[in-house]
Amino acid sequence: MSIATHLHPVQRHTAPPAAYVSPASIDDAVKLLGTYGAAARPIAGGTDLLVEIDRNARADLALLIDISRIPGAASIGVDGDEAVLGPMVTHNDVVQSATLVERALPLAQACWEVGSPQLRNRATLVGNIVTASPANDTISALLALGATVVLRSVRGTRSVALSEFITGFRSTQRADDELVVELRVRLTKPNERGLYVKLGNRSAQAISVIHLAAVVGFAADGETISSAHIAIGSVASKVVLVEAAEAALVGRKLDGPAIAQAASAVLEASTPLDDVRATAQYRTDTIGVLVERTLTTIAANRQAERWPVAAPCLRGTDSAPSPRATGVIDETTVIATTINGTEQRAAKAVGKTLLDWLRADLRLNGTKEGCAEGECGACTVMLDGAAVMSCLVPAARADGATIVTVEGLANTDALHPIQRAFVEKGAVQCGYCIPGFLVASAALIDETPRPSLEQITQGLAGNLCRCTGYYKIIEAVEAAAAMKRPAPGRPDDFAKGPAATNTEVK
Amino acid sequence: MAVGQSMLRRDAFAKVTGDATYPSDLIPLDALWAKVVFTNQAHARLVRCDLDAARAVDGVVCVLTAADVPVNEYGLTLFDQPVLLGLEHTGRAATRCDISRWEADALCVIVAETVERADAAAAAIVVEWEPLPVLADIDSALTTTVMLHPESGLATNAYTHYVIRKGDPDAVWSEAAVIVESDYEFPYQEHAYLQPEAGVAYIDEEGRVTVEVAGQWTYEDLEQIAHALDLPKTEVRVIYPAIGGAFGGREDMTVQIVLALAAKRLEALGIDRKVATVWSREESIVGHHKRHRGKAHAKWAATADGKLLACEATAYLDAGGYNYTTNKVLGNLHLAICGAYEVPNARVDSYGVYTNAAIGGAFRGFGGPQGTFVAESQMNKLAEALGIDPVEIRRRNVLREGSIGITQTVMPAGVTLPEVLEACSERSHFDEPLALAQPFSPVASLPAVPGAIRRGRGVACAYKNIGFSFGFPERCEAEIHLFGEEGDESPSGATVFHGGADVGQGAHTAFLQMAAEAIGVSVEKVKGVFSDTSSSGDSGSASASRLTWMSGNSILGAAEEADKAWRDGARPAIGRFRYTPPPTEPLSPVDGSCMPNFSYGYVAQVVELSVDVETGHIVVDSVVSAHDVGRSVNPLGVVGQIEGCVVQAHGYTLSEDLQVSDGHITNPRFSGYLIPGIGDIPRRVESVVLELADPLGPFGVRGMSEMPFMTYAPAVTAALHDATGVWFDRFPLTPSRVLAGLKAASG
Repeated sequence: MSIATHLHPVQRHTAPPAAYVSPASIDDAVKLLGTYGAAARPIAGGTDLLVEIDRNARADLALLIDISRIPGAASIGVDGDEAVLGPMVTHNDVVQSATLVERALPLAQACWEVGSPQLRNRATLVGNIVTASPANDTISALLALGATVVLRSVRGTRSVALSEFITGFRSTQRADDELVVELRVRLTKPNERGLYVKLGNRSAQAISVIHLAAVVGFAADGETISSAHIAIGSVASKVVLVEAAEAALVGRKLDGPAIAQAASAVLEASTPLDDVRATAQYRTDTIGVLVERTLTTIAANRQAERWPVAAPCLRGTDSAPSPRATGVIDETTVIATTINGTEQRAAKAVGKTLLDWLRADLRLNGTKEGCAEGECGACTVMLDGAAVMSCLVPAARADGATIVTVEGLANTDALHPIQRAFVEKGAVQCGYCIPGFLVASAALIDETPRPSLEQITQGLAGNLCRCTGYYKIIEAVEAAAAMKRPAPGRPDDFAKGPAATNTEVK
Repeated sequence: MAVGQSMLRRDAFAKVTGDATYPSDLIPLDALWAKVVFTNQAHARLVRCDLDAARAVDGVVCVLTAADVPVNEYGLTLFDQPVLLGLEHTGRAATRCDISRWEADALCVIVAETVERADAAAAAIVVEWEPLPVLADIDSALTTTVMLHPESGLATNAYTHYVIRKGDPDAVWSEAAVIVESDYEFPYQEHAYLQPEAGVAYIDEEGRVTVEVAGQWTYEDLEQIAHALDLPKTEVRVIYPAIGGAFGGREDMTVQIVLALAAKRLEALGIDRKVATVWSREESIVGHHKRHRGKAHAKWAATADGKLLACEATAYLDAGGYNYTTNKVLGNLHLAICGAYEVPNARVDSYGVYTNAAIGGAFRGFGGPQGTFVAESQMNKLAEALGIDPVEIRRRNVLREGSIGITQTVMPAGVTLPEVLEACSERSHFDEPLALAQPFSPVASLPAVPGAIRRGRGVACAYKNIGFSFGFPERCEAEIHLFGEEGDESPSGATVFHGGADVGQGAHTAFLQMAAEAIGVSVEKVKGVFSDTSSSGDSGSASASRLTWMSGNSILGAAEEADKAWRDGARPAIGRFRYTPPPTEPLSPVDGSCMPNFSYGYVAQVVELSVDVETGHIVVDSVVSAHDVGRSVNPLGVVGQIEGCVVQAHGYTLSEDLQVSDGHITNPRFSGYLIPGIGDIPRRVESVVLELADPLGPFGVRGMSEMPFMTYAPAVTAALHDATGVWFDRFPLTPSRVLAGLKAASG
């Protein structure tokens, strides 16, 4: 359907396609793409694709091919001096990979700074490079490390250097029938140090104003630079690997003059524009600062200093997508899902998001929509053990999945400690954001039983509140973490219900 | 007793279990969907609007246009906006109905089986517009001959103008030891309540057109609906379920009138189904008003010992295409722009200006923050110029008991700004050297660069009215029923009926506490029936920091009436009361003199911050926010209001950057309009709560929920100046703006 241009841009929407399939294998996915071509689109985390569809950037899609439940698709392996990442490796998979943190630190750092825990549980690296926005954080890290994209179609398999794969602003070499099946990332050697940096306008949930990654190798003397790769994003139509920076650095020591020359080379390679996040002038003024701070940190061997200890990912150790192969699911297909411990069956699980399906079709109204773009967290639910933004999950992904919503936190007799703490600490004002905060907070204290202030801040970075200023929410999470969870079914002195609502706070 | 105890909120349990119902949770499966179609025209004349194809779309029930609105005009204080645009209408409209003056003017309402069917119908509309000149901002509106509202009879788009003429500033400039003069600009702010607009409408069992919606004032919604639909008020009912935040943004109508219109049409068509709508976040941001952007020029003079001699100011607020509450917001700016000070000579001109940009309206503080930004920046500059401590210079000028205010009348009794200022100074240790703070890094993966960090602190103070101003007929009604057996000494239970909106601030819990206190029973025995025009009287709005204050007085009166009935033996004993505070007066058009308000709140804040001068990032290390709240009804709730308000002001000051180009908002999303997240808040907020009774307040209560907003921006810019030596007279202080300002100053 063509878009009616007389309508206000915010009133032009496209619904997700009316058919969905979860193939059993990569081969099956490739065959489907071969059959459908441009009418189908692979969906992994969906965090970009569902937004693009909603905003009419993917017109005429008839089928979503969900690769998120193909066994093995999220594997991270090592092949010689390369890491081999499957197409379903998420940002949090990278954050929690000891190998990648040790040998591809800039990539782990970039993944850690993308969006919020809920987005990182769904968003994939391959999705990032296929979107190919110059602001996509992982691309600078991948370019600085060196990465190869492996694509497969019924016509065959090919490998392309990432620098060639991305051809321009949000455009790549991928043909409509091709699936990115692997991302091969060069691992750093013991003589190399890498660091990723991001400048944004908010501590989290911020699209980069500038992102930059540097990987510097040193000769046997430990001082002379033997290799240097610097890539910078959000300053041109695509992320730029600055070749002149290598020339400026190799053979020299990483000292003030060399750093200044590298900074000039990076500035030279940048062509920033004004946008909603920053002026071109601002970017011009800070590129040098960032390069200098980055390389100074590398020179001091402090690149890993700020890597978070026990980074909250809001998912359990046993969380994994439930493997599921489906035929084509359409409007009439009844899907089965386990929600809050009960199996539910319903149809109409296409053409909408999981959030809309939960609310409209299952009448579970506790989960709220605040933005429909994964920014506010009001729609947070647990999907197969991981916190996700349900506004960015295709509804049919629920088939065979295990889901917990806010309605599932309390047991028959007692509130969950996090619910109790939110009430007691005055963390609830208008309450509209609260279901999302509760689901995220419950996941946080399951994962990190006594979270520090920093971990609470990191864990709840994907949830916005406009009423409380967050202080009482932080207090409530701390208080809940200190409480013992009552055994399921055991009556609690803090029973649910209006009888308790006038209890005074001590 | 009940008042003064921290109480768990009555509604918190339903809100943590997911059981609480917001308007979008009330939609039955068989409801029809109403879609409001925005014009997408900042300024254009409708030439053709062909709805035949839209009406023919499968699943479309009806399409409503201007011709379907009996009285096609809307406005809280001025009927200057058509409810719906159209080429034909009933002839009963104060303004032309074929001109779109705002990108979110409503072209029509489509009622269809589903949202998809409504969208398809919207796409099928055939519409032609004749472009008109877009008055994109205040300057273009002031320098054009194009009048956006010629029906006003004015030859200017600056349709509202207030003055202050007090003493003779021109006679004293020459005596001044120092004069500071600056231009200021203040930005839009989006409310960003988490719950976008939504509602459900139907005909109730008594035949009333009923709208369940999130608002701030049930009776105002009811009156606007009744006016547009030309219905007696008794045939309209408004109910508020759980409300997902408001902050002033729900004071004007968005979906209320159109839903009622659709429900009446369905009734006429014999269709017995509810009709609902839910706006997207983008529709919400585009489709409701903002905190006004504006600009001001100010010139202040003081003696060598820091006493104010004269204040002169000219200020403009951008109203957008319609008045909404601009004329009222402007009044508050007008009172704030000379500060909370004794000013012997003043000349102020304030203007509200029609443009085709985003609509300006109510938002926490209601013009006060804009005026206070000017006033407190001026005061901080005077302190610097004179070498006087910024707290000390305020001590020498602040309003106190018996002071004559800027409108040349005595301040209402209970002026406690001196005490609030002292408490703030003391608790922030303002007389001691600035304490150290942990250096921050603007880049999460990098260590801090201490050499690039500068620290500073700043102070600001302010006052703000409690209750509606300038002659508005303020009132608030309550009804209390006492239950028990004949001969019982005291009631076994009570029910309070009240219209006041709990927008999230905890008003209903406070009502129960005040009712329990007034009746003399424990709060567990009091039930509440709230926010339904069929069962409660007119409470007035949840705005102007007035609701606890006004409701408490109404509840006290109702309790007294109920007690009389109880002693007369009535069971249940019913008391009804309509509280009216002392009258106020409009600004004199000649010199602005009047008694503008009956009560005020007072605030002082000290902000400490760190700034990275190489990237422009700011971290606020500490906020001490001091308030006289008169009496804390629910202390936990009071602190929650202070903390939440500070963070909202933090976003306004630092990161919230709504961009409007040629009358179109270009970042109508949370991904582009950045409200503070949990990692962006001040590292510490200390709430200093004084309880110095307001002589007129119930139990001594003063309103307080807007006060923390008033002073934050100028306290931050003062701290930034302290850190860097540079004054920032525009905000938000995004890294781009800060770095550009620092570079410009260093040449």
